[in-house]
Amino acid sequence: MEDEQAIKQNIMMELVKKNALLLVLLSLVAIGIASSSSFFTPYNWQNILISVSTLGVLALGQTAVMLLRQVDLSVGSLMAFAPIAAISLTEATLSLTGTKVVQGGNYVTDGLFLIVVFTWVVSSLVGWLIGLVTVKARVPSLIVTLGMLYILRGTAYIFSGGHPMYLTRLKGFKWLGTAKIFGFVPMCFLLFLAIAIMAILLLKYTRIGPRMYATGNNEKAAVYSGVNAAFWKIGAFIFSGFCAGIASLIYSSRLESVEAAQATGYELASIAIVVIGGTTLEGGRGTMFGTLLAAIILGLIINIISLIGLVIWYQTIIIGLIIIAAVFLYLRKVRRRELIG
Amino acid sequence: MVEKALLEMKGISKAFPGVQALKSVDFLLRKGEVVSLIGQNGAGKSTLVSIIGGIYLQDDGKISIDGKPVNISNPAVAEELGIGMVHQEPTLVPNMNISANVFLNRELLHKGMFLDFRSMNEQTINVLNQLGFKLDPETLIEDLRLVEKEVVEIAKAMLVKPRILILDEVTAPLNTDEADHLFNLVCELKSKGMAIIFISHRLTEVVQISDRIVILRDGRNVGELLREQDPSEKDIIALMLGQNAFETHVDTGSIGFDGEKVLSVANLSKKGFFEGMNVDLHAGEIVGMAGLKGAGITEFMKAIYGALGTDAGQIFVRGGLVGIKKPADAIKHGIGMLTNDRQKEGLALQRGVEENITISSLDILSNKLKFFRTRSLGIQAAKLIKSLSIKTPSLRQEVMNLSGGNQQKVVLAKWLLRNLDFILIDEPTRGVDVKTKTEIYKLLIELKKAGKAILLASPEILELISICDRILVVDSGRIIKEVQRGSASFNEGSILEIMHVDHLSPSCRVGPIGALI
Repeated sequence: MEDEQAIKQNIMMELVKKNALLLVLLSLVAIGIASSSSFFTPYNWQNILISVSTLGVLALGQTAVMLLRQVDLSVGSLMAFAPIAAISLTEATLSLTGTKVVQGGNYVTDGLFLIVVFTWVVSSLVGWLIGLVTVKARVPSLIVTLGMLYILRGTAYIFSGGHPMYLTRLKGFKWLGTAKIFGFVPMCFLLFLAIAIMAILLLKYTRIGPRMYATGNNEKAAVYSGVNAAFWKIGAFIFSGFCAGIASLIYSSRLESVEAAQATGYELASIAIVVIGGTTLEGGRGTMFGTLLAAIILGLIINIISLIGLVIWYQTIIIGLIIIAAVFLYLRKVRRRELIG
Repeated sequence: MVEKALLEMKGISKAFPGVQALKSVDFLLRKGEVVSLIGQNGAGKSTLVSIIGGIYLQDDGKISIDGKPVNISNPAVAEELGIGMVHQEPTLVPNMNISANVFLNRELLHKGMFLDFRSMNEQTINVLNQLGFKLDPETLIEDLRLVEKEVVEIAKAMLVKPRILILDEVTAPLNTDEADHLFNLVCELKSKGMAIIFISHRLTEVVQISDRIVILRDGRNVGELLREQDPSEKDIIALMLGQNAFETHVDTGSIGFDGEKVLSVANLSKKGFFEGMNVDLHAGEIVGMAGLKGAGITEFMKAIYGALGTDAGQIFVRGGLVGIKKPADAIKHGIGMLTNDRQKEGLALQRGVEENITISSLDILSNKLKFFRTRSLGIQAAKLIKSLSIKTPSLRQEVMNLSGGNQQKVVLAKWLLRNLDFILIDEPTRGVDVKTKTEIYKLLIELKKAGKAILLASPEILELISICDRILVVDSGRIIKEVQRGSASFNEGSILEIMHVDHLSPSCRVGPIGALI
């Protein structure tokens, strides 16, 4: 009988370890319900889901990059640069047809379609550029993206003339940030979910998965097997840029404005999410699903803390502690393996 | 009837920074042939097969397959040409499972897009069964033993049904039964027309299994032996050494030594590396250690030095038991080590000569206030630079700018400054030019005469012969023989024989070409 007990306990432990993130998420929901009556209201959940969307999308891109043992510090600045550059490009393009995009100093009034498209294109191109420099010039991605962080921020200021651009008069722009399906589920969250699911499926069920994981975990083995490591690295940066573009659209759509200083520090938050989700810095380990859960977990934590009435700085303290604890626990699991093998 | 050549290499040369690995090598391979490639470490075997496998591109020379010239620019091209390669060290992705590794870059898909896990797992099991191993294809590589990793590597190469299979030192981690099984497999593949290039240090098995044996020495193809000639291990060693094995003339001083046992290692063991090692060092002697890569010598030395942990065993200094858990402990007891990777483990490359020489003696050279007397640091360093003839423009010259030989002298100076009694040296003249080599040998003899005890490991048997008083031959983590200076076996040929001729006797006995007995 006692043996049975021990075996049951072992199985429980295994289950807990495998589904740690999910359990944390559920516990947070429980804590949330317990701590405030307004937690489980539609309004509050919409807030959570919306705040999850922006950083979540960013984190998905960052996951791809970190799985390949790289890091992308430029995404925060890219979130400011892409829409601003897109507006300038739209301005230039449409002025050829005589349409005025920006009126009254900084009110954007026209060119919705082009602005949205250009944002994606610009952010993806920047990602591609970063990938090229990292792979061909062989400069560590930490340095390339750090440099771009500054370059993009500065360029954003120059392009926007240093003042914010308001999009309140741009018809349709606020749709992405405020629309709700069935009057309830925020559109931007669905977009985040869609990208997340696609990323999860692609990595798990197509050739993309093994080749990326191999490149990140043991590049030498990957190259010996004929995998084109350079291609995947550049691809990951393009995806990260793409995600930064989408994130910037969600963000600016909510606030209905674009300014050069926006999203400062977002790159670090995205790395935090990726790391809490189980992707390690050495590459080749981690999942998109983990990132998805971690993004929601972070959103829950931020929400609960403000509901309890604590000042915002408690958030940052707790998040910092969680990052360190999470990585410590993940690495312990990996190291225990190494000892046995 | 002589079969047409499947693979033909003519005039292949390849240089790496500082060394000419291959010098105009010709190599031929026919269908259904097992050709063994033999040579000492550094002779160029791995370089040659790496070129065939597309990992390196030759500087000079032509390669043709089936008579048609080819340019094997990367591993993918090699694979397309029907070349399968099993590397010396398993090159697998640790965080992915066996099936995923075997099918990396040639994943099976259904509906043209989605990974077909079931088929991949099935085929993986099939190939593994053929190799005689039962493994769960979903096991992660990092959870496998070294042997199993080797098998996965072989399975990977076999999957594309290559016409040319390169096996680089694959029997090294296998036990007798496992190796037997592999040889049977090789025989089978051979009968099906596969051409196999077999690299091994185990001459006994080489003799049994090869149709031809090609020997490389110093990057040149120095000859081949055919099965018809009924070659013996001695014949192979003779070609490995060559006719003009020169003698380094170094006066080794008296053969005998003080007799005082100053450093004793008893029953030192570390699972997976070495077992039951017993070594006694006496004052005024140089003891050599010879063995193949992976014999455990480097690890053994590092264990004495405290850089590696052990499972069992004791170390005695002058009769007293000492506990050495880290290099600092070893240094306190008078033991210093020059490892085989001075750049990573012995020097601070971007720091100056003086700093590197004095770094381990700062406690001796500081005054009562724990500040070091900078002037005395410089004076001491200069003294050693002079006595060791270290060529450097100044005390502050960054060590990375010195030649290999002088760098090695700096590491030696570091320990001499502390006047340690025991020095462990692994590969003393790796990357050192000929002139400095002789200087280092002379230095070591001087140290010996001054009463120090030196343990010297080297892949160059000649080196050990010229300065050691006795040589311990190590195989798979055990000392199998001790050879004293002055005895009949104290020569390069005999020691090589001890190292290479061994206990592994394959059961696949192949008669005249193609026939299986």
